[in-house]
Amino acid sequence: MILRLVLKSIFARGLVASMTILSIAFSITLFLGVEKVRTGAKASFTDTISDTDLIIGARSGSIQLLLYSIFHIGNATNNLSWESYLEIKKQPQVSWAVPISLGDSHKQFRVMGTTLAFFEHYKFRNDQSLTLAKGNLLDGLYDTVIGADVARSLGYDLKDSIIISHGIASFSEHKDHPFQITGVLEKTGTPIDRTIIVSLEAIEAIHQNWSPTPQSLEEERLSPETITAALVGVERRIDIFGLQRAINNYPKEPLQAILPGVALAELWQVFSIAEKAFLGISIMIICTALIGMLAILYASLNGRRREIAILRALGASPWFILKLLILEAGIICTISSILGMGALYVILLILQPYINSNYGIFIPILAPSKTEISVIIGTIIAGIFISLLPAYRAYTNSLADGMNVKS
Amino acid sequence: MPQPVIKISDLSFLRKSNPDFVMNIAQFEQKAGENILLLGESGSGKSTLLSLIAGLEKPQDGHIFVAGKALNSLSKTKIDQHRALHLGIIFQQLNLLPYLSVYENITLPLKFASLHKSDIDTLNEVKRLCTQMNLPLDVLNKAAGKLSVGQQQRVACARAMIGQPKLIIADEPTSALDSRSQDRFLELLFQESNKKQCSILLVSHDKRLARYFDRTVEMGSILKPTGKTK
Repeated sequence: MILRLVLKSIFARGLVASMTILSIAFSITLFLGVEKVRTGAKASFTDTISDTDLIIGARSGSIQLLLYSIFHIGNATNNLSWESYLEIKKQPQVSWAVPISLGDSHKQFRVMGTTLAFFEHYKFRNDQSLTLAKGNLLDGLYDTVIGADVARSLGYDLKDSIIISHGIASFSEHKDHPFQITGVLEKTGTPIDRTIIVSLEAIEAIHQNWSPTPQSLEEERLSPETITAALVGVERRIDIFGLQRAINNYPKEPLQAILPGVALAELWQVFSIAEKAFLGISIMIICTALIGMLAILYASLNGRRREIAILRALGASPWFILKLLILEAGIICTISSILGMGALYVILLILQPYINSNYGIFIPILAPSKTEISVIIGTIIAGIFISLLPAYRAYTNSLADGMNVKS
Repeated sequence: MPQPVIKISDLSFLRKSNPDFVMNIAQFEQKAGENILLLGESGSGKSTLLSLIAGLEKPQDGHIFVAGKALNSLSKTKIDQHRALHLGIIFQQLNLLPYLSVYENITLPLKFASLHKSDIDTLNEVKRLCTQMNLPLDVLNKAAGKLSVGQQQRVACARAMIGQPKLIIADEPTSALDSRSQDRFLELLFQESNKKQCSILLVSHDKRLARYFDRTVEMGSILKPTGKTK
């Protein structure tokens, strides 16, 4: 009976109740939305590279190595010799290794020299491989495959020619070695989207001012002396730490091997203050909505004294009145939570492709997480807890009013 | 000799929120089946007396027996149940919960009284009461807030009569009605109360209503002088 009474009472105060519900629902949508973006951004960030066991470069800091080799931010303080790379690649623990050579650019985008093995072994977001939106992988010496953002920003398409500049933000261009776009990659949400990929030999060729002739197409002549970094996969995961230790103690040159996952997590810590600020703002939003509900419940008490007096006269106990208001708050918060969560999923369904393609943040549409469920339950409990104040007031009013309420 | 439906002795009530208001009653009694008109000026404590009889407020001292029970011997829960089961209450106006249907309003006291009747028996009783109160049966599913004031008072009357009321207490139930509707309302109220053999204690400041009642009691005559009034 009490449930029916509460529901009818809520419906009877349709406008005020719906405004309260909307306000809390909106706050919950906002909170969960921010939470989804936060976890999505974190997941997208930490999934920038997966299935690579070690990143190897010249000795510096782990975050610095991660930044320049994977995020293409900044430059390496030193390079890794090609001989060392080949030696490491030959180690029995190593399953595969992919060299990376950075340093040149085209407009604002970085150029990365690598081998075809990069397309096979570079994995991101749950071990997804790079896929071509159109065209083919590198075949000729001056072929290039470009990332989705490069193609979109510069309006490039297959068979377009591009000139690579020496270094970053340099006016020195390798004009005599134009590259032809042979492939455009699908959007990945990783720094690859903003990268121009060429062959390692091509990087060597443009820096030697070398033009291919039939007799010069010998692999040796185009072998680099140094590379920027290398991605390595091991045969058995148990070998990772042994190999890392061996590389870190490599006698011929100072090298460093980092675990990408650990370095990514370290790097994410840099953003933790912003993350906490977001969380704080979201919690404040929910608190504001709950205080709004408290104000509305309080404000409506006077208008409901008559209703409460009638119920008391018919035999309702003060405890019943207390339960009535608490249940009402609980129902308002529950409806708000369901509505807020539903709205979030509708918004996600609509905006997920847009956010993914424009901001590289992939927000998976999954069943509510434990955190989200905790937020919902927490909101309902907080709503009920807050309603104790007006409910207690109604309880004491009902004791004091008796039959004396006239309006 | 039948037991009185109300018996008050040596009652003393002080409202904590208003220490100027003191009510002392040495003796007041209403016999079973007797209908009393309680007359008094506005602010004389009529509604407070009804609250005390209904068990909605508790005196500091004295005894109140209602429908055979000493209220001060009952727990709060039992008082609420006793009120739901044996008392019918009619207010001056705004008697109903406007968002509930007429049927739901009438049957509400049964829920609080834990009086288990079959749905069919309840429906038949509601229909009978509505017919008795000159209410068309098609109003049963209407929201109570959509009825006229006169109809609302008759629904409140039907609600007061549902269950097993031994006493109907009414706080100026006719003051919002015109004189013709007043007469009609009181006729219907008395017809039904006679059928149910319950007593009526009706509070009013309108002396013209006295002809309907067995006895008229002036509020001033039962109050012990204290020097303090509301």
